[in-house]
Amino acid sequence: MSLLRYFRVRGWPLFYILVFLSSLYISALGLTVDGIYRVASSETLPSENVYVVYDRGSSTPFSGLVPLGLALNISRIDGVLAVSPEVVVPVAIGDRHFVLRGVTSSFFRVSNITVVEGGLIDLDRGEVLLGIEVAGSLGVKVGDSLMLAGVLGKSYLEVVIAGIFRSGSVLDEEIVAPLFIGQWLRGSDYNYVTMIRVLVDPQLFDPSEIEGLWGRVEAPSEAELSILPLRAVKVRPGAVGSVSSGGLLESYLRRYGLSYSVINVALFSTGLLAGLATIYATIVMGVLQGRQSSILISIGASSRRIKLVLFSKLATAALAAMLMGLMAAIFYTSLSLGSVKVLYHGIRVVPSVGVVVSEAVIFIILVAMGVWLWSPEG
Amino acid sequence: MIRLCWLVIVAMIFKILVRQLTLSGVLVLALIVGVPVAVMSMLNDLGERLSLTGLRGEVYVLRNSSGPYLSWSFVGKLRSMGADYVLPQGVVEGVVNGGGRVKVRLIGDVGALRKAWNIRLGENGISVGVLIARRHNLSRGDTLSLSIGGKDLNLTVDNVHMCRCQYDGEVLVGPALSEAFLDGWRPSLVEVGGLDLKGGFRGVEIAPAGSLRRAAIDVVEGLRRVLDAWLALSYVALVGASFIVVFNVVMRAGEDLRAAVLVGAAPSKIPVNIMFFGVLLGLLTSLFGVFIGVSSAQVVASIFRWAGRSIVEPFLRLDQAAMIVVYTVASVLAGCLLYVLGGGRFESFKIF
Repeated sequence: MSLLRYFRVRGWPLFYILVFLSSLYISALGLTVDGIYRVASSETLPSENVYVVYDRGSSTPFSGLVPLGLALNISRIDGVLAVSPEVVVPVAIGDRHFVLRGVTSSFFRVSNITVVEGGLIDLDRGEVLLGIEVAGSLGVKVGDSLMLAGVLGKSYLEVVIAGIFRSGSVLDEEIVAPLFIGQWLRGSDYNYVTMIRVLVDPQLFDPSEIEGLWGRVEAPSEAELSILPLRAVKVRPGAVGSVSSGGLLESYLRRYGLSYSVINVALFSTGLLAGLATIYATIVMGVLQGRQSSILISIGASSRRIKLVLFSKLATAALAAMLMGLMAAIFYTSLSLGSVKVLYHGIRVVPSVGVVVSEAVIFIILVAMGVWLWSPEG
Repeated sequence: MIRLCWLVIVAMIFKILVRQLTLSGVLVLALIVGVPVAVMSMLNDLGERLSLTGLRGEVYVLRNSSGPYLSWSFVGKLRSMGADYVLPQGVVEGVVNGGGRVKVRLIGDVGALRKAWNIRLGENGISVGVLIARRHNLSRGDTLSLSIGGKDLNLTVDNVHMCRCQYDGEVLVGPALSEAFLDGWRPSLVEVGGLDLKGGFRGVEIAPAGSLRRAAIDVVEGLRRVLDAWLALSYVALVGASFIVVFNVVMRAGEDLRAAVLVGAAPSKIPVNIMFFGVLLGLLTSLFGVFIGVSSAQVVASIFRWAGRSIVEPFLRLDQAAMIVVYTVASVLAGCLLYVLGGGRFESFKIF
């Protein structure tokens, strides 16, 4: 303890600046990648007890097509409370792009949205609901009309804004329209949708029953869909998959050998590499204490003890500088990425406890490595 | 002679500094540059691939930006520009006898409609979209009773069309019949295909449709802005990191520099040498960083190819590489300058 008290570390400002910059760099990198991942994964509207039926053969969650007729078969499975077939498609309004979700009335049972202005859409008519952020960014109100232009197909149409809603999710940045409008703008057959979201009772529902659906699928007979020219279609075995809504993106990334854990490990490794400057700073700090450590060794202190004392002092300082760097990174990324859209949705910078803990671990490891590489004997 | 001595001393100090430059110092700085360079290389290919997507099939929808209609003379002007097709159209709302409103689209050119959407419509005919036909139980030859602007009309359905597009939810009316509906009607929008309208027209709003390319560029631009924010941060990190590298180098060279001062080198020459050293360090760092970035991106792409998943073919453009070299050298120089300006506060500078 006495050694800890008498050991005066020199060159603190140098160390603080370096660790602060390393932390700023690593945190900004981590927060950005995490933000992009969150945007991409939230597009499947993850929520509790909601499963997503998707096209296993597609390369992204939004480019596949599943037979609309499956909605009827799925609704007959035990534990299924609501079935929402949806077409997710990018659309252009002027020179800006948004995501439009073509839905049926079941969507409002599966999704938690509150209409804050106007009313719900008449699914028979060319009306749309706007997420509150879309309405805000376009500066439009209920009753205004919008020209929507397709991106995947060359369709375009004028629609009237029936209402504006708030959901507290990425839906706030989307446009909700009748299913057939989504299909027109997607340029797809009336018999297919992008995905089917299924609200279930977890006590009764068995997800493997969805996987077992294949063969000839009859056209759904709901009155709401009766205006669509539907027919029976064939589903190949294994063509359709189901996964909990939070795991859809993960299931696609896994095909490329990626997963959230792999991304985290890669970020952790990149952090360690980018943090070489911290190791470097630690070694320099050690060298700066050369005269002091020589005196301590000459009066009998062990090299190991001096290293431990230096580590404890530097690790504490590194944690403080790291937190400052993290806060600066949150400010910087919020400022620089505030208006950036990835996949037509804004990036939200949300520092999680995991990010703070893993960064703290990274910096303690870096300081430990630096101290380990330094020799008090010179 | 004095000048020669000065040059020899400067070269000697420079050599002392360079000798102390360890690979780890360059590696630290190069990694800060290398990581964003790797991402930039991948994004370049992604951007190129996506921008090539959907080059064909783009159509434009034109509307008057200050009023409800476009003039027929403007339509004539578009036709004279050599477009593949020009499809003028107007919209009125009708009420179907028995209930329900329906969108009625007045078509100004049936040939253009067929070319663009493969829908058959006679000059004097009406074609009902499949969704309207199913809702009102209509088929070819049936009579559709409509009320438009107070006028009651009984129209014979000539065709039921299905284009899987916006017209499936509408009633299309041929040009001659449109005139009968609304005498002297003018188009509220014009669809144009096969014409480059980048230049635009005064008072006309142009919306591209079917432009996957634009949407893709929008996605890549978003990612590019993320990368730019990251690169800016990398340069700030470089200033700090080069500061510590120079600090370390000068500290290690302490004995040799002291000896150089003893044989006649002016201490004031050392900051100048540090700046020279900074240029060399910046060049080494940037070139090494570009090499690390591009090669690691290639390695990642090769691993994916080996796994049977070809995602991107990374590359770095010459202008991007030059930009990285310039900014990196500037950042490292800023770090060296920071050291020179603030060096007196640290022990190693006391020797001077």
